[in-house]
Amino acid sequence: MAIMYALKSSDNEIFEVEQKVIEQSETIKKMIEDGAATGEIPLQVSSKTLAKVLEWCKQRQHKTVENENDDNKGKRKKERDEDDDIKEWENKFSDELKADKDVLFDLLLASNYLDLPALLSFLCQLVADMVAGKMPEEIRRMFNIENDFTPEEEKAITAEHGWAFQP
Amino acid sequence: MDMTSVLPMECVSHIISFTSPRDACRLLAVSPAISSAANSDAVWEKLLPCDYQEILSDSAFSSSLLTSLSKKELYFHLCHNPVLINNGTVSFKLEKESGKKIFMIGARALSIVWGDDPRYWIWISLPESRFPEVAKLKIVWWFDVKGRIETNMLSSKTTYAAYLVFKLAEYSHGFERRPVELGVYIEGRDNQERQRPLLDPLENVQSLAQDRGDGWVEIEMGEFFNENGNDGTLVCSVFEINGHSKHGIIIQGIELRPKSSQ
Repeated sequence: MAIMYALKSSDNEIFEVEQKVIEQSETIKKMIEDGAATGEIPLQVSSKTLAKVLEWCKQRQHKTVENENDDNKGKRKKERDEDDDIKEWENKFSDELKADKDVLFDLLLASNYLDLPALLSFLCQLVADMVAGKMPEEIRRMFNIENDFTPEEEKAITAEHGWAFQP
Repeated sequence: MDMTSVLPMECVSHIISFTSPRDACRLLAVSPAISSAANSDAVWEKLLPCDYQEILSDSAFSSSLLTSLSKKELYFHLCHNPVLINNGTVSFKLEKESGKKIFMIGARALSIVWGDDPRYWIWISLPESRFPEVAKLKIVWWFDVKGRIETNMLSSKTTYAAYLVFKLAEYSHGFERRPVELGVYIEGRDNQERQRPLLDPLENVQSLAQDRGDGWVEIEMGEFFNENGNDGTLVCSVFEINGHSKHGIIIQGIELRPKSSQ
């Protein structure tokens, strides 16, 4: 039987999760090792975001277990199919986050707090890809960022790095 | 929701370190908070090549300059000021748009047949050269110059082109009608197709050489896609041995830079 842990979100929802899945979080792994994780583990993460975190962790767990069970025969083709499946899953995951930036930022915070380096890198790359090739005004619009530069300050920056602002 | 009010600064820096140098510069102008994240050492340390410290340790690059510059200042310094490495025989700089590595193998680091015999080649200093010495051809029949570089020095997942950087002295001869053979290939796997351009075509023939704007011209020798630097030694070769004498070419070196850049 797999060992289960109960995670409690900041809005008091309980998530029952296998130890192997949740141990990807260095923060929780440490809590378990220190014996601090008895009963429910309270987390400063909303239920909506925690569900997303666990969706990610389960997908990753699934991937590692399948790789361990593989023998070499037929592995290449299987890997290729799996890579396609994972790509497809990741694309869907990304699209949902791009459509809801509040969840995206919450998830970034949670991956930072729970110490999930793979998820953090994935999300950083996602945001980096979103701003790639965009002009400052488009980036402000995309993320609702207030421009509190004075026009002179902004002009000085674009003048200093003129090459980067050419379309 | 404003991302800078939600995310801690180190998280914003972490995100920006996943962008490109061009995007990081555009982010400088988005807002003061994002600007300060985009200026941070954490961002530019990652936009610099991962082996930049190792490369600079092989140079005369001032260690006080290295410590006094911010990582962003260092990045742009290396874009604009080639650093001499390998005992002053190879130059290293960065491509501004991408942070990819650009090397020029100076004449002293090239294998030049007869290059150490002053009857055929002489070594001179020119103010417009970044290297202390360049090679000037007195006369040869066997014109054979090769540059070698380890592919693990080059940026990965990048198509590089090699360029012969040269000029012709006033009384040069032998390059007007006889094409030279230019090739870029992995050592031991020399089956690449060669290009055969004229280095000094007559007036009515289109020249493939380009003015570099620094007192030198260059001609593309060929290209090479560097996947991950596991291919061994890359050879860039210039060759002409068809029995006619040649003289008057001055070679600064062979430059390797990402294909799309100037």
